[in-house]
Amino acid sequence: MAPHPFPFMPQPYILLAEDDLTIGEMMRLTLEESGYAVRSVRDGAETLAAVEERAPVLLFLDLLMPKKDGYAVLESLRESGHAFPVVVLSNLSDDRSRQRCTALGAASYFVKSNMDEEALLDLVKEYARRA
Amino acid sequence: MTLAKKILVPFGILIAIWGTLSLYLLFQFADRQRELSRYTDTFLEIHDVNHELANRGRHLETDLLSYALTGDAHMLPSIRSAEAAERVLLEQLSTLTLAGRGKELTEEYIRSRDKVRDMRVQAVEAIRLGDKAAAGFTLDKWMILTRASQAKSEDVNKYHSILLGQHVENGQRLMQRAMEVSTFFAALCILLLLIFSFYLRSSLIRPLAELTRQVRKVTEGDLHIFPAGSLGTDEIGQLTSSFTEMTAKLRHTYRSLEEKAERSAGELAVSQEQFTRAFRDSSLGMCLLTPEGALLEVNAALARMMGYAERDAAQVRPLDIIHAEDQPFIQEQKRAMISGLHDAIQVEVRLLHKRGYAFWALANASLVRDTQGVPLYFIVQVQDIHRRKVEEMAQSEFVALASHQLRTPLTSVRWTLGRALRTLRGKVDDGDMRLLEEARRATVNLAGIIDAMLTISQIEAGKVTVRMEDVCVRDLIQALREEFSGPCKEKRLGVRVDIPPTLTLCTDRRLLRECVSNLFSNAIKYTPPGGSISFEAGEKGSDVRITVSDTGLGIPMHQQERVFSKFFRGDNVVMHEPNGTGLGLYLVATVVRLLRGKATFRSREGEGTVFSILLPKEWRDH
Repeated sequence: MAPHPFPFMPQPYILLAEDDLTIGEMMRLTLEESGYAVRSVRDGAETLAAVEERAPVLLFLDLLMPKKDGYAVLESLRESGHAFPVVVLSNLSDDRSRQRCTALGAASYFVKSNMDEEALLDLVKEYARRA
Repeated sequence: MTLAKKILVPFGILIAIWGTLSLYLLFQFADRQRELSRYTDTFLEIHDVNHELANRGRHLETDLLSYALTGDAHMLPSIRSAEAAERVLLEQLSTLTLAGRGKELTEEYIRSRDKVRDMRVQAVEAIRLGDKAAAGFTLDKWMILTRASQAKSEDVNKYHSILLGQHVENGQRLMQRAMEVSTFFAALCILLLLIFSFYLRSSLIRPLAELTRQVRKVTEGDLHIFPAGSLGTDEIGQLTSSFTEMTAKLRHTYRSLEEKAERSAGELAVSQEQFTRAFRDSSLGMCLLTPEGALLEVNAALARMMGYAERDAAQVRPLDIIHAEDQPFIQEQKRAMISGLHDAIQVEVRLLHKRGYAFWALANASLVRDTQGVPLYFIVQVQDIHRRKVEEMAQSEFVALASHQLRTPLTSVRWTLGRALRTLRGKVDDGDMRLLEEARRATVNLAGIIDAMLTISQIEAGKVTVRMEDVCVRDLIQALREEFSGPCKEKRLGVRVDIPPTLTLCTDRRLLRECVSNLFSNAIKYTPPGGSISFEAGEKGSDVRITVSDTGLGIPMHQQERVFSKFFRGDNVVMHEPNGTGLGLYLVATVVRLLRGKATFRSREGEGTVFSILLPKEWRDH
């Protein structure tokens, strides 16, 4: 098990917000196998509840989710303020979505079908380094 | 006759008259003075002689009387010498006398003296003879004659002094006369001067005054001047006639200019009428805006489109009818046009209908400037494209959603395969591993195709409107580098970015990104592991050139002309990289064309490829 990169924070975890079962599962497995604590949620409401319960160190956020979509989550987080980076993982590639997410405070935006799941690990390392 | 002659001749005449008169008077005076001095000299001489004679006479008296008393014979020589002297004097006197009464009197006096002498002689004789009676008798007679002679002497003196007095008086009278004459002449001169001034007035001053009056009239704008009176042939006359001519010419010129202006105004009015009608009656919504954004004119079509009655439309503030979200963009476009960056723009913008709802409109705006380049007003043409836009957006949303729907299962497959490849390594034989790997690569390919098709369909449908902004090239490419860092690292590709940080160009950011992204992903795809990709950019004239170079497989020479066509893939790459879309470069070509640029490349098989895109630095309307 690889040492997690946040040794000095109490039980840091990565929050995964993804409504698709397979994809969500994939992400969780990939991250956990590399030693990261992960929590999966399946809609926007759950995401916000989880954040409120305990803030993660990183949020991978899908856009199209039931109850509250990714935009709503971003808006809510922006309002309440958050210290952790939010990486949007979506299958929408249009510019408008991208811009809108950036405007709402997303740290970066990726199209899932254009990346490999290993890229998740690189992202985590990248944001851990920045933290 | 010239002015000079007109002035000098009378003046000359005046001087001549004066000169002559003066000289005449002078000579007269000189003559008289000479005469007077001559008289005076003569008078003085006569007076002296007379005086001397009187002295001698007195001596003779005294001598005779003393001789008569004493009978001293020694007195006789002195008497004799005195008599001699007397005779000389009398001679002198007679020569001095002047004609006329003076001569008479003098001769009388001389005769009287002679008589006195005679008597004296007789007396002397008597005394000498001692004849006391005769002596006494002759002495008495001598005394009487002496007194008579003295009286005559006084007459002579008196007469001559009177004469002198008369001459002096004459002289004085002459001077008085001279003064009278000169006074008279002065008056004459003044009179002549007055006459002369009258003459000047009519000949010089009046024509000048007349000319001045005419000039003033013309200065005030009245070109209808005509010469008053006859004009002389001198310089003033010539000036006046020239001035009158000039004014007449000016009048004609002015009149013809006025006619021309009227004609032009007429023509202008006609063309203005045409334009106004074109504006007013156009079925296309049109308006004129000031550079500040206030409404100047609005036509019926636009008013109707916005839901206002025509008379109310003029009160609307343009900013109020633009959707809040689109206002910043519109302001930016306005600023860009005023600063000269664009001459005309075409934008899709949401407008607010009077009833409160927003609708999509296509606005074409251009800025009209005056001859100095100062912005005068915007001409804006507006079309209601709401239905089309809504359909487009629905269509876009469909395409987007469809892409999303395609991508979701694709992501599952890709990631599952990716994971399987990791977890099953060593547990499955190589053949199966290879198949799994192929399958994974196919998903990558599929993802690329979905991306490309999405973009192409949007561009081809003309739904992609170019939104210009200033883009920092380096920042854009650095962002891409970060995005593609995963694949680059996977293939151990070195990425170099050699772009000045200040390089910017005005273009559509996302389209440029799409372009470069495609070139980048191609470079990654077609460069074997360990190779390198480099980005360069710089200004080239009024364009910006961006190049993406790789040390990849290159493009075979014989296929290079088909590089930018749809679904083309080089024969050489199909072997190495079976999963190419063939759409990437087509996409690049389409986007570059949309951005009014050019895409070119240089390639050598087995060595690498350099793709260049050339884009205008400023967005110009062609």
